[in-house]
Amino acid sequence: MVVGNLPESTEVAILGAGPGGYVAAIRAAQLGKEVTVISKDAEPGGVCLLRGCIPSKALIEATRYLEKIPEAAVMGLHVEGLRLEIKELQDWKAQVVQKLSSGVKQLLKNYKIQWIQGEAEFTDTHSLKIATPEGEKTLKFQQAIIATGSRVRKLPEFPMDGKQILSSREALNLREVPKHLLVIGGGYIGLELAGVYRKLGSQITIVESMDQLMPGLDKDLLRPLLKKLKAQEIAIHLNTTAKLVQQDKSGVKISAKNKEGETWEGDFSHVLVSIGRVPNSENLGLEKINIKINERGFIPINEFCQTSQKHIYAIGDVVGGMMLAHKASREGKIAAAHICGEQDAWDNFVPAVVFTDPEIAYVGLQESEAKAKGFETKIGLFPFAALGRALTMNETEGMIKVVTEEKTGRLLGVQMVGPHVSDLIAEATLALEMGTTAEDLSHTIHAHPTLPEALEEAVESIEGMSIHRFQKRSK
Amino acid sequence: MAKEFIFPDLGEGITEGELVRWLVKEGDIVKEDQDVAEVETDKALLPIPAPFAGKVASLKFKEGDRIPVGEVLMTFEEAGETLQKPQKEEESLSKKEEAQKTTKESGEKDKEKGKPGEPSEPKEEAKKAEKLPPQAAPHTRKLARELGIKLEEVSGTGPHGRITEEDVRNFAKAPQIAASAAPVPLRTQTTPSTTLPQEDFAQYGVIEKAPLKGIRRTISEHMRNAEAQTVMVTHMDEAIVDKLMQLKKSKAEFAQAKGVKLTLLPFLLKACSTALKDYPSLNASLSGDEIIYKKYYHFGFAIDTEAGLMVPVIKNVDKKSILNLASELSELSKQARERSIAREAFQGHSFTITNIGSIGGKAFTPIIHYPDSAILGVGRSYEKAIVEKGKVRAAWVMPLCLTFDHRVSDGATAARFTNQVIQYLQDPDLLLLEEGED
Repeated sequence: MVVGNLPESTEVAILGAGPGGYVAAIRAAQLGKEVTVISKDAEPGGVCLLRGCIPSKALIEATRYLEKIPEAAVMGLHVEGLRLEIKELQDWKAQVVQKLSSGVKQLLKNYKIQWIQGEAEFTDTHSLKIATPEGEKTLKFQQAIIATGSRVRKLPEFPMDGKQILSSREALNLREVPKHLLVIGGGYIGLELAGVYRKLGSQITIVESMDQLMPGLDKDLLRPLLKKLKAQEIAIHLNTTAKLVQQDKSGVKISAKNKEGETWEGDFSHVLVSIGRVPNSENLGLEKINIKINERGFIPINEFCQTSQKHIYAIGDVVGGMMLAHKASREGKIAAAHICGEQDAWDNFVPAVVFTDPEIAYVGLQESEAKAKGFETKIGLFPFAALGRALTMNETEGMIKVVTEEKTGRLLGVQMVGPHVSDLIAEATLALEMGTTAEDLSHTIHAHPTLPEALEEAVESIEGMSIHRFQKRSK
Repeated sequence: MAKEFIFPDLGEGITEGELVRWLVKEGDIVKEDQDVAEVETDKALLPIPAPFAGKVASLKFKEGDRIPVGEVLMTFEEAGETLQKPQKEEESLSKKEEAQKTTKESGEKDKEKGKPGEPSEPKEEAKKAEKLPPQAAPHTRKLARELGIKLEEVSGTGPHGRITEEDVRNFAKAPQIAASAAPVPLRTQTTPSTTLPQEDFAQYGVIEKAPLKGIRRTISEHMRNAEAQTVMVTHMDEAIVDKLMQLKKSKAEFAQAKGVKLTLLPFLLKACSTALKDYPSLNASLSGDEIIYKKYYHFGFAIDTEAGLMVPVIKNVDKKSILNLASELSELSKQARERSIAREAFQGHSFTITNIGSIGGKAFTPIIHYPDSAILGVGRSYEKAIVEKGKVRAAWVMPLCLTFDHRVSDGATAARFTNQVIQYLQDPDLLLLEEGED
């Protein structure tokens, strides 16, 4: 990363330094391009690293111990005076983020990637106008990659003030535990943060406008999570929308209404608005270079991540699809490779991981999706309760489900809920990318005793051949 | 909303076509199935019918362009088109509902087969396909992209039909045989084009440049491919054809009465189909580790047209009479010269004859009509002095040049086959004796 003398021109200009932008920058530099990154933030990393995936995982990991350690009493582990100081936790989390971000910064520097802090706007198809803290700059480029990401979707009824009414960004930085937290939106961000603050002692209420949490998710996967939420005494209101009634120093009063028209009121110390994210596609001057956005604000691209201007690429949340860091990174690599003349293109399966308690992970088609697409399916299931390693970890909640095509045995999708499934999904993703069959997986030795054995068993259960789960075989 | 007309897959492994001319222009109202363009593929001129009715919004290619299958050829405005209703409805949702609806649709829950790109048209296409992606690893998929190969066309040799890296490479090397025995789907992307070193010829004198296109381009690709895929040797000999000339002359009237012009070519076809039954390696194709022997005798025959060389195929030569062959030959030649011949008429050859006799020439080295394994070239029959039993006499001789693929046949095989053909040509009565099904 070179700061100081700002360049007049560059080969590849990258707008945004998140897991799409910085990955694209490094890959383009590795392939011999001269690269300039323009970032709104002073540090690289984007939402993911600075105020999303990484900080939330730090909080989730720390609060896990608050629950795991008392649970370990069954193993004979008795700890007294267990407490988690939220201020210290926040400081540690900030260190983790800082360490990672400065690591990325160093990488950019090593690759001699130019760094400009500022907001960029296209003025024509080969120039950017950049508003920097030092004034306005013009940068000529040969190719550009738009990796400007997304931001929290606002809810007009609940204007975020960052103190009582929060977005995920502020909710990750609280230095005091909320007494009673209302989470609006039962998607993965809301559920992850609800889990963190519940463990820290908050009382939690979740309001979701659809008829289930994580709408669209296979109900088999949701069941262990719902069981846990119930045990944690987290109140869940489905088919419900909320309105702000009053806000003062003492807290926020809301009224909620469900589909049947029933209403209730509630008082909360804090409200977290987590109803999704919107793409950062405005104020980029796209209209000047004739790149259109769709009705939801996303930039359309082809399989090489090219926009309608073939030398301008777009990647990550700003193009839509699964708004996940690793999808953005893969697109960043595709765009960089394509700029450098390599035949890389999007043809991938994207694993989704949710760090709820228990964790949820999935890749490929769910059973209902496969059926809707007209596949004749065969399903395999294996519960962690029957797995040796899970028992020794005292984490027996959850299962692995596999969806295969009946005729060919080809793997169509894998869904997991339970311990460390965010790690276990990697094998399933590779299996899908390789186009494997159920047999390929069941004929692969999985080390014992480990959690991945559950995948082998789930696949074997398709034919009633799981070893550790008795199944009556229909002849 | 414009409707796109995607240049359709024409089958037989054809991956692109050359736009010869547009039959409509922007703004025209087109009926369903009305021809909108003429496209030249392989060696046939095909009309392209509109898949639906509408007003032509835009034409995406210029005449002379090569259009890859799957590209948008043109767009239509649909007749009586109104505003998109769904969009309106969505806009009328209350802001909150919309916000919460989008929560559901955005990011985390968009699990369309694990594919993002919901805003991207090409990816949409992929989603709609609803069939399993080819069973190939990412590395193999990348290789296929580099070689310009559609994995859907490659048959895998791995377990459960998995496509291996080797399958892709083999497909790139021998697309014709991999796809099917008969037709010749050209794969221009994989044929390395000849590029001259950057030399400025204009410094030596006046030059003129013309694009390589149409039939010339097809021929160029065919030839390069044959040269690359086979090991060719040409065996040369002469047949004394006095009797044959006599026969042709004496039966001309008989044929004429049946409306057929008798030439030497049908006799050559017959002589070859009869002899090939004894030399199957010259009526074969080599595919990987296999030799495919063909039990059918469909002959390509080269004709010179204004547009260039064309090779229509006459089927089941062994089962047809000389007169039938003669009349079919003249019909196919006429169609080819008028360019009204169907694309299918160029497919399925197992052996080929090229007769340069009408123009001249004694000896030449024909190029195999890949994936055949042999081609017989015929020169101009001429009168010359020959020595027979110590006596010199004048005789009509026909030069024969058989090019064969030495990977499949040996020189001895080629010589014996040629000898047998010569025997039939020298004594055409023998063909009568050999006539009939085996």
